[in-house]
Formats: sequence, C-alpha cells, structure tokens
Amino acid sequence: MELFLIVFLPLIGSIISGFFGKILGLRLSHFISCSLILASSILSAYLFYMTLNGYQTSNQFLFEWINSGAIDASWSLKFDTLTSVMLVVVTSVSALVHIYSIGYMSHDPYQYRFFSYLSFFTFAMLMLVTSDNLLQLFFGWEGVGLASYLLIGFWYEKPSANAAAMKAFVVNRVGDFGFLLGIAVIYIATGSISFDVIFQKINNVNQFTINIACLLLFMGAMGKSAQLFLHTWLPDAMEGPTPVSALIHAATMVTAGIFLVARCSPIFENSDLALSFIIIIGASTAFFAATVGLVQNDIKRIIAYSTCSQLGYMFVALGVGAYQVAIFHLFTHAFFKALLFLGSGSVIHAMSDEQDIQKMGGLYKIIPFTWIMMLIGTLALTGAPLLSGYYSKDAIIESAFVSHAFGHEYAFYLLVFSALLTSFYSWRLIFLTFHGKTRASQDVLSKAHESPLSMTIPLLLLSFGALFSGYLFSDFFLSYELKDLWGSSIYTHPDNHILEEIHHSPFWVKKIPLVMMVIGFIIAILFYLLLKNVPSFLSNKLSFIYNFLYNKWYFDELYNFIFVNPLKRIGNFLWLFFDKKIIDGLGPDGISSLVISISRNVSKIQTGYVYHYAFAMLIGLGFLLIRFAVY
Amino acid sequence: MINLPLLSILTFLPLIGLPFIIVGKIINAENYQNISKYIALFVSLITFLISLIILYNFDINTSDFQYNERFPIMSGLMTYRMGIDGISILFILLSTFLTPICIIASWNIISDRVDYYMCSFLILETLMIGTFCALDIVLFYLFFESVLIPMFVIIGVWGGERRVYSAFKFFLYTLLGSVLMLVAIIYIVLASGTTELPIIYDVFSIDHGIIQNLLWLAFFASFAVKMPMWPFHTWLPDAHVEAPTAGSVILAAILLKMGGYGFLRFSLPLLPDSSFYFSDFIFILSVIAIIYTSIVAYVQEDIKKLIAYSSVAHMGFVTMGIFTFNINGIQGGIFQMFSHGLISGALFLSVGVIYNRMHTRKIADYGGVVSVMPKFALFLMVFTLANIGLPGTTGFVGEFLTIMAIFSFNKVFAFFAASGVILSAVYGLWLYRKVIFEKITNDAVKSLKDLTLGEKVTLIPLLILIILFGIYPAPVLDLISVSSIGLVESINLSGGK
Repeated sequence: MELFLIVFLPLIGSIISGFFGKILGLRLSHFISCSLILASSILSAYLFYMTLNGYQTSNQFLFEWINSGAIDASWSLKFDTLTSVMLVVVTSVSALVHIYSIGYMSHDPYQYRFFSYLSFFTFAMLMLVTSDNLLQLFFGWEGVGLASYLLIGFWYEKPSANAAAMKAFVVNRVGDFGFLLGIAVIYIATGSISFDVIFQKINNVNQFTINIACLLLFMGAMGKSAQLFLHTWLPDAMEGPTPVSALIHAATMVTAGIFLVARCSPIFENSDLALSFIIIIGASTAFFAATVGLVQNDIKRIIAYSTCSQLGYMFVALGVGAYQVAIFHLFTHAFFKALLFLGSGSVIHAMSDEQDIQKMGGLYKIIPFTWIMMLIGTLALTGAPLLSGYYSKDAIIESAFVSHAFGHEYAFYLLVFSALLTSFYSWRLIFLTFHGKTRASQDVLSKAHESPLSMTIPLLLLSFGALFSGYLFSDFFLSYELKDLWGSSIYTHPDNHILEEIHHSPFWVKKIPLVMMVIGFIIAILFYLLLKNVPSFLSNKLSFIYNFLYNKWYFDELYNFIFVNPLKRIGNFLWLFFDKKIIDGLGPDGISSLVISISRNVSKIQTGYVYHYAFAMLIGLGFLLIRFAVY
Repeated sequence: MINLPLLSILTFLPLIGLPFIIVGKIINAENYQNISKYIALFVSLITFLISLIILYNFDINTSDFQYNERFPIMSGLMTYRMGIDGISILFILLSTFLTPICIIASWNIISDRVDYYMCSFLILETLMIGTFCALDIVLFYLFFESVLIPMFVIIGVWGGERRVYSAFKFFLYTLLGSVLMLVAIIYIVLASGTTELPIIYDVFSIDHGIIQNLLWLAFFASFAVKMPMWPFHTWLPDAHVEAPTAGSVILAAILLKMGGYGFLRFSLPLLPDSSFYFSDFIFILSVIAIIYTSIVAYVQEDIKKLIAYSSVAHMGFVTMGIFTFNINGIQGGIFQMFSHGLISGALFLSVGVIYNRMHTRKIADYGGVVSVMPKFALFLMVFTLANIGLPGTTGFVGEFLTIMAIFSFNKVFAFFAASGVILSAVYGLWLYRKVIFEKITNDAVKSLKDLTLGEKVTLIPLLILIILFGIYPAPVLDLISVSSIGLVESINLSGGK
C-alpha cells in the first residue's frame, strides 16, 4: 500500500493553497486542500483497521538525509501500531479542523495562507509520528513548532499575537536544546540515531548514560507538551485562530511529547529515575494547570490550561510504565478537547469575537447546538460514565495507584484531586457561558447566531468521537490480552505488568474519580447557579490565593525577571562596554591613538633648529663610538 | 579537456573582462558604464560555467589533489602550483556562484563609477578562486592577502558614511594577522626547503614544542581575524554596515570562509600537535563567540549589525567542528561554512532589498513590511529560519554535525554550544518580527513595492539551494567526504591524537 501518501498528501495541499490558491480561487483551493487531508485520513483509518486485525509494521525508505561518519540518517517512514494510532488522531482531527476553518475563517482575507500553514502543520506532524529515527523526528518536531509559530502569529498586526508566537518558539527551543543533546548522548552511547539500532543496543549502555539521555529527551517533551516550567507558552498560544488551538494546541502537536516518550519506551523502561521524574512533573503539571484554570475568564485559556493539565495525566501514565494507557488518553482527549475548542470557537464566532466568559451567560437558548456539543465535550473531559474520558482518565488514575514506581502515591492523590478541579472549572465554564442571566451587551446578542454547517458538522463528528471512542477502543488500549497487537512498537520491561494490575485495583480506587467529578459538579452548581455571591466573596476574602492563581503562579513574571529582562541588559553591556571599550579600545582604536600620540611626541623633537639636530647627532656618534670601544 | 589548465583558466578568466571594460572607457563608447555591467555579468557567468565543468570531471573518490598544474617561477624560488580537493572545490563553487548574483544585485544600485566597481568585483573573484586553488604556500599567501585590496576599495569607495573608519579597522586587524602568518610561512619554507604544499605535507614535521606552538599561533592570528573569532570580531560589524550590499555578501559568504579554510589547509595538517594542544583554547573562544555574540546580536538596532554578529556566532560552530579532529566535526564545519555562505549571502541581499527602498538600516524604521511586500516576507522567513538552524534547511545540517562531534569530544562545551540553538531563535525571530510583522508605524513603509524581477533572480537560486541541500545534503557531503576523511587520517598519522 502506498502509505507514504498519508504523509505527503497534506504537503501537496499546503503547496497548492499557498502558492496557487489565488489562481484557483477560494472554493477550489479549499476543496483541494480539504479533500487531500480527507484522503489522507481515510488511508490512515484503513491502516488503523488493518492494525486492529494484526497488521504489524512496515518501513518505507525514501532517500538519505545526513550521512557523515557513523551518522546515517535517512528520510524513511515507519508504520507500526503506535504510528497508526497517531495517524488516525492527527489526520482525522486535522480533516475536521480544515473543514471547520472554511466557515470560521470565511471573513479573513488571508485564508490561502491559513490553509497552507494548516496543511503544512499536518505534514510535519505526520513526519514526526512516522519517523524511524531520532533526527527525522526532530525535523517533524521543529516543523510543527514552526507551523505553530506561524499560526499563533497569524494575525501579525496584533503585538500580543507576535509576542505569543515568539514565546512559543523560543520556549520550545529551550526544550529542543535538551532534545538535541539527548540525541547526542544516545548517538555517542549506541553509535546510531535510528530507532531499531538504538533499541537493540540500549541494554549495553550504562545506567548513568541512560538516565541522562532520558532526562534530556524528556526536556524536549516538556517543552512541546507544555509541562511545568516550560508551560508558559501554551496559554499565550491562544492568540492564534481557534481552529489552530483545537488542532495544534490541544489534539496533536502538544501530544508530540507523549508520543516521543512512548516511541522511546525501550530507552525509558531502563531508567527508573527518569520515569519517576516524569511522574512527578506530570502530576505536578496536572495539578498546577487545573488550579490556574479555576479562576481564568478567557474561554480559550481555560481550555488551554485544561489541556496542559490533561497532558500531565498522560505523562503520569507514561511514568508508571502504562504506555498504552497514556496513548489511550491521548486518543480520547484529542476528540473531546478538539470538540471543546471548536465549540468555544463557535461561541466566539457567535459572540462577535468575545472571549471573556464573564461577558456571556444564558447562551444555550441562542446557540443550542453548540451548547449540546460543549456539554458532550465537558462530560467526556470530566469523566462521566461511558463517555470517552471515563475510560482513559480512570485508567490513568488506577495505574498511578497500582504502580510501584517512586512518586506514584504523590501522583495518585494529586490526580484524584485534580479530577475534582477539572470537573469544577469545566462546569464553571459551561454555567458562566450558557446558563444564568446573560451579561452580554444587547448589541452582541442581537447579532449572535448558530454557526454555519461547515462548522457544525465537524463538531457533530467530533462529538461521536468524544462519546464513543472510549467504549469502542478500551479493549484495544487496555486489555492485557491484546497487548500483542502493539507488537514491538511499545516495549515494556519484563517486570512491568501494570496493564494487568490495573484490572485488580480496589473498588474504591475505581470509583473515586467519579466521586470527585460529582463533587466538582455540585460545587460548580452551588457557586455559579445557586449561590452566585460565593465566588466574589471568596476571591475577596482569599485575595492572596485568588491573585496567585489568577496570575498563573507568577511564572511569567518570574521568567521575565530572571531571563528576559537581563538578556537585554547583558547584551547592551557586552556590546557597549566589552566590544567597544575593551576590545576596540585596546585593539584597533587604541593602537591608532597610540600611534598618533607617539608620532605627535616624536614630531615635537623636530624643532627646526640646526643646533638641536647637531646636538642629537653628536650624542648618537658618542654612543656609536662607545659601542665599538666596548667590543 | 583534461589537458587544459582549467584551474588557471578559471582563476584568471574574470580578469578577461577588465580590458574590455577599460577599452570601452577609453573609446568612451556610449553607455560604457552600462556595458561594463553586461561584460562583468557575462564573464562571471562563464566562470561559473567553467567551475561546473570542473565539478563534473571531479573525482570524489580520492583525497588527492586534482587538476594539478605546476611550473617553477621566479627562478625556482616558488612554484606556480594549483590543484583542488573536495574541500577547496566547494568554496570555489560558492565563489563562482555568488559573484554573478552580486553583480546582478548591484545592477541598479551602484550608479557611481560603475566600471571601476565591476572591475573590482572581477579582480576580487580571481583572487578568491586563486586562494582556494593555490597549492604553493607563497602563492596562497599572495592570493589570500591580495583579496583584502579590492575588498578594501569596495568598502572605502562605495561604502556608507563611516566607510573610512571601517575600512581602516578592517585593514588594521587583517594586517596584524598577515604579518605573523608570513613569518610562519617563511619558517616552514626554510625548514622544508620547498614552497609546494603537497611536498611540505610529506617532508615537514616538527616535534611538539614551543616552536610549533608559536607557528600555530602565527597562523591562528591570521585565520582567527578572518573567521572572525571572538575577540577579533569587532571589525566585522563595522565593515558590514558600511559595505555596499554585494560587498557584504562576498565578505560574509567567502572572505570569512578563508579563515576556516586556512585552519583546514595549514594548522591542522602541518601543526597537528599544537592544533590538538590548543583545541580547548579554540573551544573556549568558540563557545564565547556563540553565546556572547548571540546576546549582543539581540540588542542591535541596525539590521546589518545584527546579521554580522550572528555570523560570528555561526562561525563559532565552524571552529569548534574543525578542532574536534573528528569526521563529523570537520564535515560539519565545512558544511556549516558552505551553508553560512548561502544563508548570510541571502540575508544580506534581503537587507539590501529593503535598504534600497528605504535608505535606512535601523530596525525601528521598519515594521509591517509583510502587508506591502508579502513575497519578500516569505523569502526572508525562509532565510531567517535557515539562520536559526531549522531542520530541512542547510543551517541545521552543519550545526547538528558539529554539535554531535563536539559532544563526543567534550560534553561541557557541547552543552554551551547547543545553547546557541535557543539564542539564535531569540535574535532571529526578534528581527523578523520587528521588521516584517506588526502594524506599519512608518509611513514610508506603506508605499513599498514588492520584489522586482532582478531581486527575485538573485534570491530564488539561494532559496532553492538552502532548502535543497537542507533536505538532501548528500551531494555536498559526498563531495567533501573523502577529503575530510583523508584530513582526519593524516592528522592521526602524525601522532596528534
């Protein structure tokens, strides 16, 4: 089968709408780019179907890339079970987002550029997930980062959008710095950067090196997946158009970090240290982002923090060695989070680009379809029984409980508590947006309308994913018996039986996420539907905590203080003082002024009086005579 | 075909243009200034064509010198010896490729004394090619140092307001290095009894000690200024700022590479023990260059200065790579030089595009250019990303290979060098954002016109090569591979490591 088409059809779409869009016209170029992505997603679905029936793996070599000494990186595509899951997620969400964008961006004069970027992103993401070596993965990694940069800054006249785009790129580069060094460590240790060789030789590498390599690779993952300390770019990334947030900053790109760790499971399984580190960072992020999400008012930022938090859940699953569970949550999360983002896009569209939920309320009557879609997304996210999040998130919490890794208890309690927070902020969003009395201006409300079909159909399709993807595929991801379907794409240590142990976790552990969800739901009802004075009362009484959360734990301020502001000062110091004063002062400028002053002094000797010269000659003659006399 | 002295033809072909230009001036033909442009372009294109013929017949499977020409001159005092290997041919191609582009880029820009300008460029081309072809140590020295003269003239005559200061600074720095190098060359010639480099490679050997170190430092003085390495870099920003666009292109793309070429041709093979002895020293300077100049680049207010500082940072990777004595590092360093030649050339051409319209290089005078010049914005985006080292462009390949090599050599240095990955993104995207994005604040920007045909002709070839060799660098890596391996092996034989 011509599987490479999955990867390259979007690239063709990107080129067509970017360079020939104007010639083809809007309709035709939209049709072409959407149908190319659709074709790619159909092929991916077919591959996934084959995988479910036991099709294992195939590699397609394209051509060589960097070949120097022992480094032998090629462009080649690897299709195994892990890849096929990722392909389905990426191409299907991407196709829906493409279609959705036709409606959402219909008033934008730069649609060709937008679709070109979107298709390019899809291509880069597919290169990332199909890579058979670390370097091509890095290519995709940077490619999606570039697409993200371009799309966040899509509205280039907004200074905030530009700042956010740059921040996203630079913070990601901090992670990439680690990633690149990680590649170097692995290359030095195993003599290769191709996965097959690395995984074979990794057992002969000493423990210390493996630990370092894993931590460095994970640093890259932290940047891309917005984990604590490198998360600050993700909320700001919401400056981009909403379809971008759905595709890149919720469903696909930010999960690249999860994919990286899962792909490198043969390495990570050998490093308990790195795995524990991942557990702790993941759980901390899940908790941190959920707390910040509690008090935000921008509809997209709330969902962004929720994404950050859910990524933390996935990392915990990776850390305890339950890779399939992490990928399962990645899979379900892609659907319900894209649904929530596109739903919120529909809200924003209806409300004349308003994003502040404090200025909404009572919208369920005006945009009922969007309301239902958002409800489904919220139920799935919070883990309502039988919906997709229920299966995957509970499995993560259970796996954190049954794990033996260092830090698993910390993770378990934080994740359980975060489930409560998740439920609370999600319902807060719903209640403030759709229920109660409206706080929007009459002007905005009179123009509010339900979105066009090109936007509602993708929502509907995503809602099927949010409803059923957990129920349908839980066996494939969680069942210990079907583990063989994953083939060699995920390696687990012989002592790692976590998939089996999950099924034996105690009854209370299985039920506690549900309890937390209900408690969060009830508090949200109390706060935002029944006792509406409580939130403002609490934020006044506990203003310290409120401000701390509202300002996102002051991470941005801290980073500005430590890194951003000093950089300019150091730069000016080095330039104006060191370059100009010291180097130039002692170097060329100094030499030239020295020459000038010497010649000026020498020229003073030239007085023009004959007897001065005669006297000098006499002295010289005297020295000469003495010299000959001595020798 | 093979029997023709192709290298000599290639080297001196550009000079053929000179008499025609002069004759035109003497007979005062109508429009002779204009005609001189066509003559220069035609000659440089033929030169490029011949360099392609040389490439076509070049054997990449040997590290021996090819296209050898030799006959004694000056009554046997030195030899006219030419020859190329995989390393030098790459730089020759870069020179012959960029010269026509520079001539086209100057087409409508230079209006004052066009004929002299074109003559300077043709002379410059001859000297650049000669530097990379010469296999006689004295001949090399002559070419290497003479390059300064036309460059000095180009900056001094067609440069900006402070051109005299810049030209002086440029000259002073380079002079210091060249005097010391001359002393070292004389020592080596006396010690080995010949001026022919291939013979010197065989016969010249010197125990590691103070003499070898002094010789090494003498070469270092010259090459480090050319690269330029920190702290000998301060001439570069000034020279770039004042040079006309095409002058900046040649300066950044070719002249800086002569330093790296010198290290590869002389320091490493002739003085391997000292090269090894000083490698930590080189690494420290390189790391400082990468971090220090990246930070300094970030605070520049002048577009050209920013790019000039970024050049210093990128050259830091080159010197690091070369002194790892490892195939990845040397290949990476050479590739990085080649790639930087394309990228910095493209960046300076791009700056020229907007400078010619606005006559200002201040970043603050721009902003919002994308809304009036979308095509230009696309080109500059690709060049900026290549400069940042995004995979898929040539900028990544060299950086990646050198980081891998440095890592196997010294992990601490690798750590610091890799931080350049972050810093280059900071200043690169900062520049792009301030010039291209955001709202138009300067009214003059509103009336800008997008790229002209001539500008596209200069930028498109660079764009294609940057992406093509970024995705498929094999042709370049294969070209330099055998010679690089030969170099690495020759170092090991003389007991360096």
